[in-house]
Amino acid sequence: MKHTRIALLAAAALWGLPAAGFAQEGEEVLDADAPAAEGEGAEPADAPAEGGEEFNDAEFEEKGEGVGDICEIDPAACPTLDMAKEANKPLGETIKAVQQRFIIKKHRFELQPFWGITLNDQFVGHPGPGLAANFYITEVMAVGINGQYYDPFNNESAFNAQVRRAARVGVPLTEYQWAAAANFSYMPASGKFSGFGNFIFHYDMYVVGGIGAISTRPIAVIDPDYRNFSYQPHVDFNVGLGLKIFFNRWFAAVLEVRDYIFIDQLENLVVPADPADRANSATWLGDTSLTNNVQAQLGVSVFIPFSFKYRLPKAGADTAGGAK
Amino acid sequence: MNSMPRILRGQGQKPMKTTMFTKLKRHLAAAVLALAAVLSVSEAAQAQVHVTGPLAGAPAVRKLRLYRQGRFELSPNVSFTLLDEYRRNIFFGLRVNYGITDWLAVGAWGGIGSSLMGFPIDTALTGAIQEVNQARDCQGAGQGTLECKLTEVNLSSNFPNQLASLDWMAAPQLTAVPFRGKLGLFNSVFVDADLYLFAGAAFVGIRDRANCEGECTTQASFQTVGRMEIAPTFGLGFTFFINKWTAFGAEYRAVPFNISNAGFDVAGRGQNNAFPDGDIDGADRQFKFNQMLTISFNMYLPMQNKVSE
Repeated sequence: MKHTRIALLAAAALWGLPAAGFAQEGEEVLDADAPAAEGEGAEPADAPAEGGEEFNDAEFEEKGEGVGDICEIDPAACPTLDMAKEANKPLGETIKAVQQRFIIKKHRFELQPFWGITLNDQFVGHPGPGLAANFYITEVMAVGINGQYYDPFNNESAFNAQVRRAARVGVPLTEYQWAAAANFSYMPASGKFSGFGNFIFHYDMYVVGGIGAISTRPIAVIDPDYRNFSYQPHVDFNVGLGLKIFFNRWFAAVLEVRDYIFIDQLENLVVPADPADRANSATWLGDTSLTNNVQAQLGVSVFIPFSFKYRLPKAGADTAGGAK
Repeated sequence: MNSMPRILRGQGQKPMKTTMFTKLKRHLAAAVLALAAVLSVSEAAQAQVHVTGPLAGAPAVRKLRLYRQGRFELSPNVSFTLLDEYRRNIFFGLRVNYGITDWLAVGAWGGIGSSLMGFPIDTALTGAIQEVNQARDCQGAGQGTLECKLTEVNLSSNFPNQLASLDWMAAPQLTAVPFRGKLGLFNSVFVDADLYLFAGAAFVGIRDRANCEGECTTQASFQTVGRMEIAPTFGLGFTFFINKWTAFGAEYRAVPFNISNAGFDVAGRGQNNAFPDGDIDGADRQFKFNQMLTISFNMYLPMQNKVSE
C-alpha cells in the first residue's frame, strides 16, 4: 500500500516536470522549451523516490483532489479499484542513477571553439585556437571535424637556448602551422554533480579518435645561417579523452586531452663543410621521428539547434529491474 | 620534443622568443576568457534549476552518502611528474585526511621520490647530452679544446650525476569538496564521485648542484647536495567510490619553486642577470612550475558512512 502511494506521488512529480525528459524512443513528444515548467531537471523527480516521504491521506482529501471528485461529477467514470489487489502487484520500477537526460544530443550539431596548450613538449610550446564541429548520430556517438591554428603562437622555451649555450648541444626543434582532422566520438560515461549541495549540473565523458593532417616545419637551430624551412603537411592520427560540463541545454564547458601522433621531419644534424652544400636545401632535412603532440584543450560547446524535443518512454516500458 | 641532439655548430643560437612570464600571461588570458564565457551563462543555468512546484525549498540532493564527514581517509598513491627536462620523478606516497565536514578536510600528503629510492629516471635529452659529453672526453684527450673550455663550468664527466632530483615531499593541506555526484558508465555501472580542490604548503627535499664560487670547473664542484624548499602546493582531483569505504582517485598537483635542474651556470651577470657568471649560486636556480599526476587507492575509516537527511 505504502509503495503504491509512493509510486503515485512519484508519478505526480514526474507529470509536473515537462522540461526534463527521457532520451529513449517513445510515443509522446514534448517541447523542452514549452512554458509551465514546474520543476527543472531530473533531480527533483528523484527526491520522492529517494527520500521515501509518507503520503498524507488527510491533506489529499482536504484539497479535494481525490478520485472522489471524478465520482461526484460522473459516477459512471468513477474508478473501481481493488486496492488490496493493486498493492500486491509487483512494482519492479527501475530508478536510474541519472534518471533523465539533461539534454538530448541525437541529431544535433555541436560547435566547439577551444584553446589548446601543449602538455608534453618542454622545448617548444604549441598553443593555439581551434574549432571542432560534431554531429550526433545517436545520444552517445558523434562524427565531426576539428582544426587548430598554431602558426603565430609557437613559443620556444628559454630552456633550449640555455642547453645550447651551457652544453653546446643542439636539439632539433619543430613548430606547427595548422592541424585538421575528421573524428569519431563516443560517450561511455555521464553523470551529474551537486555543487556546494545547492545546484546540480550534468556532465559526460567521451573518448575521441580520428585521422587528419598537421603542417609542421623544423626550426633552424643547427645551421640557421643557411637553412630556412617551409611548412609541410603530414598525416596524423589522434586519440583523446574529454569532459563536458553542461550549464544549460545548449551550452557546456569542455576539457579535453588529445594526443596527435605523426611522423615528423627533423632538421639535419650534420652541416656540410662546403658553403655551396650548406646552401643546398636538399641537405637540410635529416631524420624522421614519431612525435606525440599531447594537448590539453579547454573550450566551450554550443549545441544547435538550441532547443529540442523530448520523447517520453512508452507506458510500461523499461520497468524491469531494481534501483540502480 | 624531437630526438637526438648533437653538437651545436656555429653561432646559431636563437634568441629566447618569449619568456615564461609571457607564456603564462597568454595561457591566463585564454583561461580568463573561457571562464568569463562560462560565468556569463552560469546565472541563467542556475535560474533554470529553480524549483517552484511542490518540491520548492527541498534540498538538491537527499539521502546523500557522506563519505568524508567524521572519517579518516588513507590513500596510498603514486605520483608522476610532468614535463621533466632532464630527470623524471615518481613519488610513492600516502595521503591522510580527516573530514571535518563532508566538504572540508584537513590532512597531509607526502611521498618519497624514485631518485632517493635508488632508481633515477633520466630523459632522452640527458642521455643525448651525456653521449656528446663522453665523445668530447674533456677529462682526457679532448682537454683544452674549444668545446671543452666553453662547457667546463657546466658539464662534469658524468652529466647524470649533476642533475637535480626531488627526493621527498610533505605537504600539510586543506581539501574542499565542492562537487559531489554520480557517474554512469555504459549506462550500467554507477558510482558516486566527487571533485575536490586542495591547497597547502609543501616541504620539498631537493638534491641539486652545490653553490660554488671561482672554482666551479673541478669535478668536485659538480656534486649535488640536499636542501629543503618550502613552496605552495595546490591542485584538484576526482574520487570514484567503489563502495562505502574504498575509492579510486586521480589528482593533479602543482608545486612551483626554484631549482637548478641541470646544474648549469645560466645566470648571474649582465642585464637582468641573464648571462652566466662562472659561479653556481641562487641565480642559477630558476622558477619551475613543477606538476604531477597522482593515482590513488583510498580507504575511509570507520568503514560505515553516514547519510544526510
